[in-house]
Amino acid sequence: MKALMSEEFKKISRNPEWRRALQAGVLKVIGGGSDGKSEVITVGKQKYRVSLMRRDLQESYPS
Amino acid sequence: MSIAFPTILIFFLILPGFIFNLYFYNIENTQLSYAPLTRKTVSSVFAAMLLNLFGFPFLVYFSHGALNTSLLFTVLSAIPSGPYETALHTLGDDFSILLIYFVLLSLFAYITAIVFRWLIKRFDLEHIGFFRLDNPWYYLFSGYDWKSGTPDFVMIAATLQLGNDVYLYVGILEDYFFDDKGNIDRLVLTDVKRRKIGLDKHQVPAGEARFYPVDGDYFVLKYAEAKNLNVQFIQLEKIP
Repeated sequence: MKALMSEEFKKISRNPEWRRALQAGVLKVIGGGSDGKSEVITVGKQKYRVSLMRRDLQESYPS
Repeated sequence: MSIAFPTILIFFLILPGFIFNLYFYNIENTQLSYAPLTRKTVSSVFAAMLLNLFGFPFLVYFSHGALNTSLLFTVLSAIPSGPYETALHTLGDDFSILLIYFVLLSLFAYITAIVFRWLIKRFDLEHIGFFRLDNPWYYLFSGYDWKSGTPDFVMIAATLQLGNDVYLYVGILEDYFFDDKGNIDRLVLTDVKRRKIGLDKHQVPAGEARFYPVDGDYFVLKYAEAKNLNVQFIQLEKIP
């Protein structure tokens, strides 16, 4: 099944600048941080704040 | 004949219920119902009853009353007698109408299942337990249950043992597959990087890469081989 992937992300994920941001470790920085930690990246002319979402899930999930 | 025909008739009467059940729990061509067979059968037969309750008046109307409940019960009773023979003859005369009824009712069951599933999704009814599929992974990876905002993608970190070493793999979740019990079978990740689990931040001099990219477009991770799994949700926000 297809995992969650917004149209915006699908669009930018094909952009070489996104891949450069990945190589620069944007996700590792965010993923290694606490909730809400963010980094700003530029893809094309658009700036994006990439952030780790805060835990506000409504349901509990399998551990 | 007297035994086989009622059996075939019962089969066609309950078939729409099974079709409804099949497509109601079908999400992206994957069956997300893991109820025991008994429960599936009961719910399918119940759905078939409701569908027939809705459709049968149309059958009676279009057969001009020839195909009615009395005839149905006589045929289902399969008691070789005068009324049974007469009922079979009547059924034979209006067989095409009966056949069209079963085809249309099955089609109706299929459409109803898809429309119901769409309505449940459209009006967010899955927050109500009754409408919720029995598969928490599905809701987790589709980012369904976030109270505020929606994540843009899911990041997975998993540890895998290769020989004597344990590696940490990090990537973006693209696809996932279930086994027939509803557990995760495998995850498909993109933009995967890995490192030895021992290379923690404090053990690597600043500036040296701890992770290195895994070549290839898709990385298939067998869930059974993962020691543990970390799921993170990432949000993109446009900055004006």
